[in-house]
Amino acid sequence: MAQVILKNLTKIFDKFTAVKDFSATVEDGKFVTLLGPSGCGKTTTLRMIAGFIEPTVGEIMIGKGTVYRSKEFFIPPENRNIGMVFQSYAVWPHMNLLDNVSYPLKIRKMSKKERYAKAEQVLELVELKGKGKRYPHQLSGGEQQRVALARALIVDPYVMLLDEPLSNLDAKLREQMRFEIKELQKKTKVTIIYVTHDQAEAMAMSDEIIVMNKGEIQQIGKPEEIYEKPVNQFVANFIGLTNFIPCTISQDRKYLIVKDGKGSQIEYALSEKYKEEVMLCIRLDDVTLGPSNKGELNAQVIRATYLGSLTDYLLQLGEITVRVQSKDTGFSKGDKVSLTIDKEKIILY
Amino acid sequence: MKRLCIFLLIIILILGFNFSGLAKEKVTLYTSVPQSIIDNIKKDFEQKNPDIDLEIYRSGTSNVLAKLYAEKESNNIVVDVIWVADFSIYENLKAEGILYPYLSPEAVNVPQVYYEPEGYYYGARLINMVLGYNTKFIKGDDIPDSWKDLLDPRFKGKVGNSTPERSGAFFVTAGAFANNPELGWDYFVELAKQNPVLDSNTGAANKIASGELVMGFVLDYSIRTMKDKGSPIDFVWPIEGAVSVPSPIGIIAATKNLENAKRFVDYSISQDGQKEFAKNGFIPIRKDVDPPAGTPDLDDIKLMDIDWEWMRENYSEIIQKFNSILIE
Amino acid sequence: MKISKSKSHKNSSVILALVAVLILIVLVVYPLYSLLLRAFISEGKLSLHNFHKVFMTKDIYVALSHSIFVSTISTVFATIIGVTLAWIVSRTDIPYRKLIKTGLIMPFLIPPFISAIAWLQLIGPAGYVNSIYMTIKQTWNPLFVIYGKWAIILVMSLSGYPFVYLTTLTGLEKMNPSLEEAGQISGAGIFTVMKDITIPMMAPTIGAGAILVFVSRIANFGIPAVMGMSANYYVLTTKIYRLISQSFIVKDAQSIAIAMSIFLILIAVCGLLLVKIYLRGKEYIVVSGKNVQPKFVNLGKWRYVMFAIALSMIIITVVLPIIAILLTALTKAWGLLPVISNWTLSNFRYVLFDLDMSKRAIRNSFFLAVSASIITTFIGATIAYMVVKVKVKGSQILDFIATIPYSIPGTVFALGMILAWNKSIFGKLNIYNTIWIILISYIARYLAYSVRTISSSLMQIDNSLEEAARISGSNRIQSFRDIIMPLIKPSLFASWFLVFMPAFRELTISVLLWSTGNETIGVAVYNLQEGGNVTASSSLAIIMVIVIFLGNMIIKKVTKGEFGY
Repeated sequence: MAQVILKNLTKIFDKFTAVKDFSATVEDGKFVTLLGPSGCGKTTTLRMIAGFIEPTVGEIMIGKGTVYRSKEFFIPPENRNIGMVFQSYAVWPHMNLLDNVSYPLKIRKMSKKERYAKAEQVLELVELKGKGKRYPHQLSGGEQQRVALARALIVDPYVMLLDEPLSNLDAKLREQMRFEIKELQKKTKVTIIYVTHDQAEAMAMSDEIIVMNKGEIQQIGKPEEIYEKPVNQFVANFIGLTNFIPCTISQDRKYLIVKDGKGSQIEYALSEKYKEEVMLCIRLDDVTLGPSNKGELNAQVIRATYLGSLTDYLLQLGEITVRVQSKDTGFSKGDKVSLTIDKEKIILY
Repeated sequence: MKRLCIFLLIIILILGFNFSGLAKEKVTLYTSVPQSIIDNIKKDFEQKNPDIDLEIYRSGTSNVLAKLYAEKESNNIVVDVIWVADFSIYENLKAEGILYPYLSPEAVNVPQVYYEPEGYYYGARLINMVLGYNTKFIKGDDIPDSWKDLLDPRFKGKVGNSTPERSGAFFVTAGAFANNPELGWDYFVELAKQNPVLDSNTGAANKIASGELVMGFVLDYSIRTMKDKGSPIDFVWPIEGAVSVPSPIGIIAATKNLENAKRFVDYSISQDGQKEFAKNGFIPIRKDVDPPAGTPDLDDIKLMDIDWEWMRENYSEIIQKFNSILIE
Repeated sequence: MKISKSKSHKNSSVILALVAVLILIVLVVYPLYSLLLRAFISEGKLSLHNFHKVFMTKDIYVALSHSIFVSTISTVFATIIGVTLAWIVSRTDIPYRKLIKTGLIMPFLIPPFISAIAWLQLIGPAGYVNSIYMTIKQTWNPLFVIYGKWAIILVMSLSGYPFVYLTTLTGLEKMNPSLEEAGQISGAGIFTVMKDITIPMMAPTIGAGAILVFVSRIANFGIPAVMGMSANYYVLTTKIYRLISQSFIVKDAQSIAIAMSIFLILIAVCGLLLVKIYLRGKEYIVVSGKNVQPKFVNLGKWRYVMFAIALSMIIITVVLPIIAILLTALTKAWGLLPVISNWTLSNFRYVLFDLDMSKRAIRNSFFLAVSASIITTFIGATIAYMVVKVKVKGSQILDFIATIPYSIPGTVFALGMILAWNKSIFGKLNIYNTIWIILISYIARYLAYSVRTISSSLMQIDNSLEEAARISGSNRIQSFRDIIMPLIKPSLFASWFLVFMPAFRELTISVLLWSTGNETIGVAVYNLQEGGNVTASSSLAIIMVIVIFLGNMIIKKVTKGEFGY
């Protein structure tokens, strides 16, 4: 159990900068997620922490020790005392579960009796009690993943790294595993660094999220912060479903003028920091529909898609389109409606 | 697509038929004469007989005979003339009715001892089993003069010879030794202790030239050719006698090209043919053709006595006895 | 107005099926049947009489034990070499990896019997090494004498390792790297990972490779022929060859040869079955989705040591032999030192322009290789189509039959061909002693390559493409010609190449089937070698190797590296 400190990590492959100047601290016992689209550098960062990739510049400290400092030293993965769960689980098919899970202890020269005992313990922890003699091919995907988890935990690692471990599971199992991994962490209090591109997953599991794009950190914060106060358009767009409505500011700074060709206005007090042009971001479910002429904005429904628990509406607001997800199913194509924006939830750039 | 296939098929067939040699007149010869020499002979023969194609199959005597018998068994005889190194074989072939008696007009110029009176086969070249040695390693006093020099323990593992099974000429040699009072089968028992390397005649000669062996049983004509090329090899006529084999030539009775076969036999014992053979290192059977340069007159060399009749009657036994001494 | 479309479709399927079956019967079933018939029939009745006589013959057991001895030991060596090299190439950061990779596959291009000839010239009792030693030391006793079994083992190992190397390399490269990374994270260093994880997981692949090498070594003719026969050391293949050449002089020679070939078939079939069984259920290798290459970095200095090891392997197996033969080909006469003053091009002139046999042989080999590859591709495509697309009942059997000649040793197959065809057909047509028997043997032998290659390509074509053609009115043959053929063009080309190359350089089968005028280039080289004309055989061998290398380069260029070594 330890904290992980990353300072100015940079990785350049040939001419391509995969990770640029990544600095962050992962507190002891916390669950931190690296979140971002493919190619954003999250996996590269994780593999630098693991030791599979040597950074170009920077410093990595795990626990009390420095495992990497550029131009000074580099400790290989096998000596970092960490645990890792791979996307493909990497459970060894030629060994049974006990051997798989206890392998790290075998390397540390523990006696067979002792390490098997410990292995039984961790297997129980991941709810695979009694299956020690089985082989991986006899288990389901979800069970194999638990084996991988057990193997990572058995050495009481400083930190556990998880590289998109749930992407090979079906939707239902994925959701279930999210909770289980979280429970596991609470029980063992192990520090976790988690990589995923699924923002719902990140939101559900993390104490803190680091959003990345094109190799750079966009924002670090708790899930609520990231969701409600995204610092830039990228984060706002990546997390949750968002409308981006271009506006200008009224002279007296009391109104936003929507650039919809109709000059619709939204009453909203604007501070000095905003210049003439602003982008209004509002989540799809922070807009309500009402009968026409009852709200600030007037639009027409051009598409209504029934999704079960919600209906997804596409609305024409002058020259632009707005998307709304609402429990209200009453509207259909062609209806004229009014849009009411929850002013508390407005984010402006 | 279809046209392409047909086109290709036609090409293949055309190429294929080219190989059936439907073109000229031909005569097919099976022989154990070394490839390069028989090629020279073929060129000379075809030059003097431009309307005939001489087709050659060349291999060791036993392979040649095997092929002949295989063809006989399947009733599909392709060969017209056979020319291997062992006189006694021809007696067997004659007895089995495989040979065709042809009295060549050239026969009058050939010493009677060298051909079968009814013309079943004619000796075409005199090849002699002699003692060859490597000139780089064997010098001065070491140069041998007797077959018994091969038994010198210094040369253990460094001597070589062929086998009666593989070589007609060596079969005759083994038979000659067996009946020779100075040598006998005991000679081969002693030779076995030398761990000789067993190969073809040419193979043994090559190994002596390369230095892999220092001495061995070789055929005179091949050494002559190699010497001319510059290989470090030479030979002597041993005091007990060399073994002279009048490697004969015979026409196959079932031949489909009788006239052409006759012409080849005529050529072989004619002055022209014998001159060409002499050019290639063979000692001619005709007195009126000069032997290759540097060859002593055959009347001056000691040759071992050969009992052809005995060898013919004991063909398998001789082979088996030799094998039991030297191979097993 | 045509008859109903479904009928014409069905009819053409039946026609195709019949044609395919007929071809297979003639090519494959008949020779094998002839062989088995002779083995088990004595005096007109089914019996084991022949086996009885034959079991008494000591020769067989000697040859059998020799075969097993050399094949087993060379397999062990080949496996060790192959696995080590595969590991070096795929798991370390040696410099010039691409060069090494290309170089290590080069041995595939040199026919084994030519390697044997080259090695004789290198380390034989009068070879270059010994000659230099003997000249320096002024003695006629060589430094070492390698003949018979150890020479055979040496060349078998060196020419056999590429099989194991290649299969192991592919396995290693396809293996999911996270399996090894998980080992590292667990605390294991590079060599421990290799010991505990990589090698156990690769065990089935390595094992399969080893068995394949074993079967191919035991079926090899050229190496024991060149290096063993003159030392009176016979293995099954060379003994069979010897017996066939003496079949009418030695009693029962043919029966003994047939019995020996039954042994050979048994060993080969057992081996291949073992591979099948062993690999079943052990599909360990998880192909990784991403293209991550784990390069375990070696300590700085060791990089160059490994590079040196790999490079010397290439030099030993490819460069040295070729240099040896080249020197011999250039030397005026055997026995002379290969110094420049003794160099000449006359040997090349001799085999290319003067010697009828070699000129014929070159022409023959080209003819055979081109025809065989075209015809085999055609037949192979038909059979592959039957099996993959038409799925006529029993088409699996077609596939199996097509691959039989490939699995049984060439010597045995040639023997079957002799027995099948040595009597004339209908009293008139005779293919024995013609080039056609060799051509037919090649077609049968290499059919499997063709069927396999084209099958896998066909399997990737969705059925709906043909169904659309059917809807449009075409029958089976038309849709095959118009839709399928164009789509599988690359694999047709591959099949052509895969048949041309081995057919061109083949020896084992043609050495038993050739007759005057129908020599192949392999037979020509062998005959010249056996006849003692080392300079000529070497020059012809060089020409062969040049053609093979050139052909390989062309294929690589044309298919952009997809095919070719």
